Amino acid sequence: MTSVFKHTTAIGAALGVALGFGLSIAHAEETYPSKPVELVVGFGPGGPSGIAARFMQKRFEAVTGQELVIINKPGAGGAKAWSQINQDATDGYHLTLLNFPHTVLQPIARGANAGYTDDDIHPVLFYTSVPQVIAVTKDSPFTSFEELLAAMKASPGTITIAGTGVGGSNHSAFYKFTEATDVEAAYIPFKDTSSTITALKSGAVDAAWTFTTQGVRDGDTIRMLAIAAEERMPLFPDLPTMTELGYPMIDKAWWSIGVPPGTSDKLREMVSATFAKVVGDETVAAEMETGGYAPILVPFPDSKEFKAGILADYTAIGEALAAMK
Amino acid sequence: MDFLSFAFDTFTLSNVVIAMIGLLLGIVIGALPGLSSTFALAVMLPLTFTMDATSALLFLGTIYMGSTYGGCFAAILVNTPGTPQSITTTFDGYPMAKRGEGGFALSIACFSSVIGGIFGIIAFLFLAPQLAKIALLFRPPEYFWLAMLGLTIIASLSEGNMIKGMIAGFIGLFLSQIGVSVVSGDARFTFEQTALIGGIPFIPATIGLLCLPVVIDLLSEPGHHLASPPDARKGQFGRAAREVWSQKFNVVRSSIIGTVIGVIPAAGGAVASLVSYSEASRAAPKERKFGKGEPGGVIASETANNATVGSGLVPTFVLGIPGTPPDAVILAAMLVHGVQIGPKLFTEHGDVVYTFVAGMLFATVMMLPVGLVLGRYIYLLVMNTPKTILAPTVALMTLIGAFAIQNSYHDVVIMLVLGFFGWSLTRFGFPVAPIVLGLLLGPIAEQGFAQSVMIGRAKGDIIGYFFNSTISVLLVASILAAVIVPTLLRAIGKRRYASIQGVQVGK
Repeated sequence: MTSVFKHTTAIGAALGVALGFGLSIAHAEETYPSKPVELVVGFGPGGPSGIAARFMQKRFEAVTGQELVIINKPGAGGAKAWSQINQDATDGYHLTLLNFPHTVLQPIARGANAGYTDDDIHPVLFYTSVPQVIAVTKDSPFTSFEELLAAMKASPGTITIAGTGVGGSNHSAFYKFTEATDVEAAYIPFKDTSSTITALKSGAVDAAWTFTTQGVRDGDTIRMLAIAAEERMPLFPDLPTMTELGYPMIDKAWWSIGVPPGTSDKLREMVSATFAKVVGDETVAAEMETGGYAPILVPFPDSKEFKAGILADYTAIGEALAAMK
Repeated sequence: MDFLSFAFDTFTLSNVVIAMIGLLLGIVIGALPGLSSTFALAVMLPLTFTMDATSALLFLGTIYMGSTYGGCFAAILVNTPGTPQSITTTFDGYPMAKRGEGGFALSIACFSSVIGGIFGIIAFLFLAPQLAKIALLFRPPEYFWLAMLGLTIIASLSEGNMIKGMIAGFIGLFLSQIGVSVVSGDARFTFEQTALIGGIPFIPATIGLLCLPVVIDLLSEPGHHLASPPDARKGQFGRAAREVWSQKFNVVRSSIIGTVIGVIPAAGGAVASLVSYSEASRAAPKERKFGKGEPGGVIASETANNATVGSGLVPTFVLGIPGTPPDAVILAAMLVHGVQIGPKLFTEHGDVVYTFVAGMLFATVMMLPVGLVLGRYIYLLVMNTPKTILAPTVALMTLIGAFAIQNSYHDVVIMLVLGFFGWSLTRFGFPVAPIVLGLLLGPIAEQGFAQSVMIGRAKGDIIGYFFNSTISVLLVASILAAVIVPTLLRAIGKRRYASIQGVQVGK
């Protein structure tokens, strides 16, 4: 009796496993995510990109029941990570954080040496952004944007302005800034946002183009002079926009979840919807806002058009930056 | 004072458990080749999301301390830096183990790490505002000169064959140029290979260059991996303690160097132990043979790298700039946990900071018994393991270590290619350590140089900009002393030798 019972349970278990296996294949797409999801970040853990990813990771498991595994793969201004996207499996479990406008500017500026092309970049959910700011230290002689501009006009080319990398968002902001104000300055590129801020605080450079996230973190020691956004941020009500100051320019960095080329539209929608749920979580949104980020939500398929818009806006700048070399 | 009242709060059961788990995890991960402190922290960060901010910091901080120490195991026993901070430990630690003094070397490393670790934390506790000022004294020219000072150590590493040492150093500098340049955005020597865009990855390269030759030798040479003289099995605690005590000046100097370099943003434990090693070898009497198994080399390296753990927190907490690469993860944790960074942290979040510091001190002190016991057993294990098991195990660890950091097969290929390249070079009498130094210091030197030129050009005085601070001048003076003094001494020595010879010939 017992042996028969054992026998049947064994068969039952085997059947169950087989059935479960079949079902899990059939329903793989229905129950996304059913295993840990990998997200590659092209920058180190302590910078604006690393932290933009960590905010999601914190709530991912609570919302989806699965882990979000973050792999920091810094190098070549993010390109090291992005050059691998087209080799990733298109199963929705191998995702990459995309930085805009970087992923638009680099292929233009570096050509075949960028390691990836525009065709490899497939954003499925734009979820946060940071406006750029021009900042000086608290003890800088420049207390306002006008004072900095006056100094730049007085001796063109001698004011040094730091930013992260060449052909990235800070560089693009610097370029737009010199175009809008029609003055010359020296752009000094640094490896990452930490190094840029170190250079600013140590007095090695006169000013820096950086992100609002730094304004939150370093509010005690740096003074932001202007923000390149459409309107003032609630977090910094006293910080004037470049447009208010008479030099219309808008420049931000956006982050999106990216999938490898060849991913099905259905899976793109699921990835997009899942991450939208995570960033839509109240705590995530609130934490990002106090961290200086400006959350947005552009899911798939609208994300395609949003990317096309960024491409249109930045192509000319990318070509200008490439020509400056 | 504030600290003492908070210190007692630390000793809740949960904090003690967290600190001990963090310490042990750190030592184990650090001991595995390739798995760096930064990697350990990044992997463990999600575990802290359910903790409160203080426990999260304590957990990460003790992992950092443990892994910085743990790196010495692989460094001493198989010539593979377990973490980048322990690269310098291989220079003398491995030769010591080779001749049967591995247990002695591990005990020395343990004492030195504990002393350096405590020194760094105490400095963080009492001198944070002053040390934060040092962090801001380092601008592009100072970074350039610091890297140059680090490169002078190639001279002492290639005693006997300076030319070959220099060639190896330049190979390292060349390798560090591969990839997209930070300052120009150009892709250099990448040949449109996506694998090379991010440059030669430092950790896989180090594993390949330093460890693969050991694996090949294990397979190709008869005899035991490590010599085992009769007394090798004995605990070497007392002898190690006496050795460390007899080199107290080295310990103090290395602690100070480690503390100061830990504060300099992005320099980190690898650079700190290198500079400290270089100063120790220069200050030591001639009969101490650095690079040939001199205990002082292990002391300098391990004291300095653990001192950076505490002091690296200074810019991280006070300025929001990571002092060392692993501090970037700690910074990320603080931001995600909503701990506001800045000078106010010490007054407004005193509970967080002081509990954290007390916990770190506790864990560092615990590292002594844990490390001494662990060191003894790991040493005996490696010594007693037959080569047929040891070689494939180490080989497998090099593969895992190279792969794990970024989940990248490219990194494994680069590790293997550089490994065989390094091994062939050693066959021709070239040292490989200078290649590693070139790779480590090349980017710091290059970026510092290019940024200095750009800033100097904007300000109208390029040359002057390289010398316009006290730190720059001091660093240049140290470089000159490092390069000229030994050459001068050698020249004088030769002349004396020649004159003696002349006298003899005359007779």
